[in-house]
Amino acid sequence: MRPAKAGRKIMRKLNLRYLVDWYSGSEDSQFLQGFKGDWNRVCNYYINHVSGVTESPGAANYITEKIEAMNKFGRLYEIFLKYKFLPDIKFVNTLDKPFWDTLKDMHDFLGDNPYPQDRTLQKDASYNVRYRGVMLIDYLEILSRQRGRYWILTLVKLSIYLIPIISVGLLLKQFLK
Amino acid sequence: MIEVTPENVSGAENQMVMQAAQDYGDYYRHARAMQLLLWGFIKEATPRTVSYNLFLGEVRKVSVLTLLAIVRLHASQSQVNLRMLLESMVLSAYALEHDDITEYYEVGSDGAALVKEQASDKAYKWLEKNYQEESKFIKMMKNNINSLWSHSNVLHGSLNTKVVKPGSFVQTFFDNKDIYHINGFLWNYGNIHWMYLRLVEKINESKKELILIEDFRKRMITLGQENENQKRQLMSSERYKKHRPQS
Repeated sequence: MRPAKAGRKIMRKLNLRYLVDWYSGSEDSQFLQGFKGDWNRVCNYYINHVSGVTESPGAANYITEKIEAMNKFGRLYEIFLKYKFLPDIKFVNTLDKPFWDTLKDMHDFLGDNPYPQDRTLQKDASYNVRYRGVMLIDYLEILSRQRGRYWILTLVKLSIYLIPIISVGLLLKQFLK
Repeated sequence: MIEVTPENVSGAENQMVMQAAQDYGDYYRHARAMQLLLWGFIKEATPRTVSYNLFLGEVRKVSVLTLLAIVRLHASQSQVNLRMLLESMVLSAYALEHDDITEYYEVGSDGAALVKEQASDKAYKWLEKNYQEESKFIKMMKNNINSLWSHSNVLHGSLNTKVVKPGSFVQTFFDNKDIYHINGFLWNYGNIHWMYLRLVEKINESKKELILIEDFRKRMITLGQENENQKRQLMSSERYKKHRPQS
């Protein structure tokens, strides 16, 4: 009753799921296992949060990673804030808010220190700071999944430096003529 | 913070449902289309489908409750419902071939109706013998639910407990809104419905107790393809790749 694996692939491609009496049972099972793995990871993250986050060594590393990510994002944030570039980037399926609102939320979460450079924050920060950091992790994780869009951010970065250099170069060229 | 009262909860849930198409896009529309098809796929039935219709009533009701639980951010509730949905699907499929209502219940000496426990066992055995693919599929789905969602455990609470400051805990009524998880649940919901509707159609090919709506097959083909596409989409996500089983 069950077609061979290769046959299944062809059927899938040909959109014959219905007609050939085929169920993707094993593939569904595979997906559900991965899905459950992610679910467990999220639960673990919240349990760490409720039980004090940095008390577990694994969670400490996790926070360190996240602070590094916050630093990175902080720099990008500064660029965005300054140049108001690309206001319409959409994170439609991951965030329910427009990009700028999300940035504002992040900024509000972080208060006066939007991108802490000091890595000792991890050791010394008050619980409240850590809590806000944890809240931010959600956003950062979502953003980090949008890696495909990072080339745009790189272009923005480059243009900030290149446009003045090229402009000055062109001006100099005019003077030297 | 809004007080957790039945009235407030109900109001918030209504908003979630009304906004679901916007929040979850095609995943919700697909799940909703499957639910609607389940409710309207029969044009006519013979009088020999009493038992089937009794179980179908349960299937249809639990189907809606499951979908509501998913978009109202009650993950474990939705999965418990889903398990019940699978059970009622098996019984209803069996009842389409076995209409004798005394197979499913008996009347005690005091006149009260009592469920015959062995009916479920018979139904599962029948399914395993006659519809192996569906039987395997349902077992896999039930095992998946049983292994995590259907019994109380510490993981469930983690989604509903927050710390405001050390020693100050807050419980939330709704789970965190995780789009990936909800989309996954919605896909699975659609997938299970598709399996059931196809199973009923197959049984009916020989029994001919039901007349299905004219565009049933056309809608099934479209929905089957949508469901496959959504699975592809979910399986290509970074979060799935991180936890997928290593082959």
